[in-house]
Amino acid sequence: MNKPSNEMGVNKKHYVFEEKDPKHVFTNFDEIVRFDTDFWNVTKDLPIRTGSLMRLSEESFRNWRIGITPENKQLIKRLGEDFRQKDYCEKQRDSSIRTVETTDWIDMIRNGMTRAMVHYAKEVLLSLDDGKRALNVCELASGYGKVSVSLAASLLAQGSNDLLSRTRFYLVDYSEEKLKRAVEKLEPYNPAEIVTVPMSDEEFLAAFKEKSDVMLSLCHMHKRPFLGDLLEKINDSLSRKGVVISGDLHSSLPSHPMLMYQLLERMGTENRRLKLFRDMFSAFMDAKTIPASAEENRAITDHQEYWAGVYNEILSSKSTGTMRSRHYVLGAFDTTKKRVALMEDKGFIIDPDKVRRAFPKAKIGSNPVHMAPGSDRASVVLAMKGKALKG
Amino acid sequence: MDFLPVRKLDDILALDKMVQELTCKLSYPMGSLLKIAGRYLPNFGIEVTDQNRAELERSSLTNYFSCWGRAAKVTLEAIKKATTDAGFPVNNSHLNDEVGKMTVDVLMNLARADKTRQFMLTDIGAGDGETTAAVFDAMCNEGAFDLAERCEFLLVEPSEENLWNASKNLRDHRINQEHKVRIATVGGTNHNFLGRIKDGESDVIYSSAVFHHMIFPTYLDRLREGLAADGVLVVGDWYTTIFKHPAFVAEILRNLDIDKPGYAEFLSLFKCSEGDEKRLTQHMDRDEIITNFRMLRYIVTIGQEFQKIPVENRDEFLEGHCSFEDRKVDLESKGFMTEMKQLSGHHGFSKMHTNVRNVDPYGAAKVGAFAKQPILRKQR
Repeated sequence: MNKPSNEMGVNKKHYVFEEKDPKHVFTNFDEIVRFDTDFWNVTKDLPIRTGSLMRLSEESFRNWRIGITPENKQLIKRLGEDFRQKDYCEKQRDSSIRTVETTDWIDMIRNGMTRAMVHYAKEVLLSLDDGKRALNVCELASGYGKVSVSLAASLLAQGSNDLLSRTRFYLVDYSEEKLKRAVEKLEPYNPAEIVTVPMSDEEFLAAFKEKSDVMLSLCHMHKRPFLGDLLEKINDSLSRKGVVISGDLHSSLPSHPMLMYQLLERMGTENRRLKLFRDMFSAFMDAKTIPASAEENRAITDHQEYWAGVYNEILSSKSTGTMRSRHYVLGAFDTTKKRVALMEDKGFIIDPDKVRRAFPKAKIGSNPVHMAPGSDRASVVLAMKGKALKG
Repeated sequence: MDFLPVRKLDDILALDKMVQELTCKLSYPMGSLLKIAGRYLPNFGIEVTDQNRAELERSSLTNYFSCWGRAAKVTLEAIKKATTDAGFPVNNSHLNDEVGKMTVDVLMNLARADKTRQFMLTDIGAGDGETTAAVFDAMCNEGAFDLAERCEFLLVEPSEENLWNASKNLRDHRINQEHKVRIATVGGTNHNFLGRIKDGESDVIYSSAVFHHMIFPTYLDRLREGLAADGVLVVGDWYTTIFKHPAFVAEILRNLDIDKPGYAEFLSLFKCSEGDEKRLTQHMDRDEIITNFRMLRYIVTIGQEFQKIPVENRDEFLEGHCSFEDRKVDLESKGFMTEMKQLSGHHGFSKMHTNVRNVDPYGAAKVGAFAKQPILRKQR
């Protein structure tokens, strides 16, 4: 279960939340951990739980009463990473989590994002290709190499075997087992080289000596609470005219306690738990403070609908494994608009006209690419290396 | 047991029942022999005649429908996991990707030739709409939004439930952000679901991972009739010869841990000896050997996954796979042009270098585009 890491010197004693100042924002790390422990205890043992606040995006922490300071940032980041690794191991151990969480819609959106990413990756690679040089493609949190294998299959289908034979794939993922499978899938396409890296993306990028021409990331960035740090490292790791292509899910649902509360209500959570939740965020529940466009509001609704659907699926399941599986709602989700702003802030170029000028022969359509009509729930962003803004 | 070959329907059904009973206790049973490609049935001692062909086809579809009826989400998840664990480089999603791209390539060529033409595209075996979603994605990636407005899509699928899901999924597709695409559906779990396609109505018919469930190429007659005069058929499918001969099936059964008496009975029934598969392999090329080996591993891995799911949700492994060369023979015999040199003058293929694209490095998954021949050659 989500317990704070002992290695980090966190006091494991259960802390019972007592309100002194409902407007207080926690900045002391020990207090944050105790507050968080009380928070995730509110939904403990439910089929769908909030999970730890450490999963949130950097920008959302304040709405949830956590203030990020230079003193606590690295500790919070490390604790969040621990939770992420635990989630990952849990999903590997319990396949029913994936079965329940993968709906037809999610499947279709993931496939659609993969196709858009492969299209852009192929267009960029063909533009960069001079017929001689080796090209580097890197997939972050690659899992079984879904995007890389699709890219290889697409290059093979269009007869770009020569380009494929000069392409080096870097696959980065925690799981050695998944990397092994990814290599089995990719090897038959005869790329120049497949390099597997069983570590976290930031660790890898910090040690990466080569430059990547195309960096791929599918449904991953919403799991990175301090995404800005990762984007800086990605920018540093790209070659001149290198691009990062990210397909991701978006929503403001976890950005505000009120939205999460609505979902818990909708799932029929007991009054006792709802009261605890309200008590913890009594001064932070004003929904009027959530600015959102129509598409962003629809994404929140879609996200809530998704979890309500998962909840119904669990309730209607006859399998005890499914009934016992754990699902966490919170994540570092943001909106596409905020993602683009963050990327631009970190020196990336997103403007489609500028990208088209850099790759005049490439078929570059809209950027970002919105995957669902009228909703900001999923999008693909192609971000070209620009001047990294240090400091 | 020395009664093969059989040709009377009752005898065939008796043989089929006997063989199914041999493997029914396996975690991944073999299922009916009548799901094997008709051209390979003689290898299993079943003679296909003009008298029994229609009944065999009907039985085959009944068997498939019964199998699909048992499949639940756990079945599909187990199969998906096995695809990954067995190390298959591609899956149905990759096949859909290329069917989508090939369909849009053909469509754009047809649209260039006639700038006002309205198009009807038909998805055969549409399932939950994944292949049509891939066509939509390819249109979006190519920026062909205005072309989308000139298209109507017809989804043909026996399962009404699948069609309902498909309509819902496709309504939420990003192509509808710019332009509303018209979708119609044809369903009904009867054996004649293809019969509801109107003559000459479709400009492009596309299909992904479906035709290896058809044991005889009679469906091609219907599809040919459904195509416009310059219509194009885009087919993505799996091509293996793993079910071509009982010796290969015996090897699968051995790997699925069939009991010794059952295995001996299977070999004896089809007059095979252990090791026959190796002898047959000598006449195959490297890609075919690798593909069949991967298929064997895939089936065995599904068998392992099926041990974790309820018996009533388990699928059966026999299917109507055939080689790509055999598929081409079928297509040609039913009035389709299959070679690029024949197609180079067709306006649906202008700017194309090839009409067949490999999705799998060993040729197990291919996408091909084939045009209707103006005059159907006389069949034997």
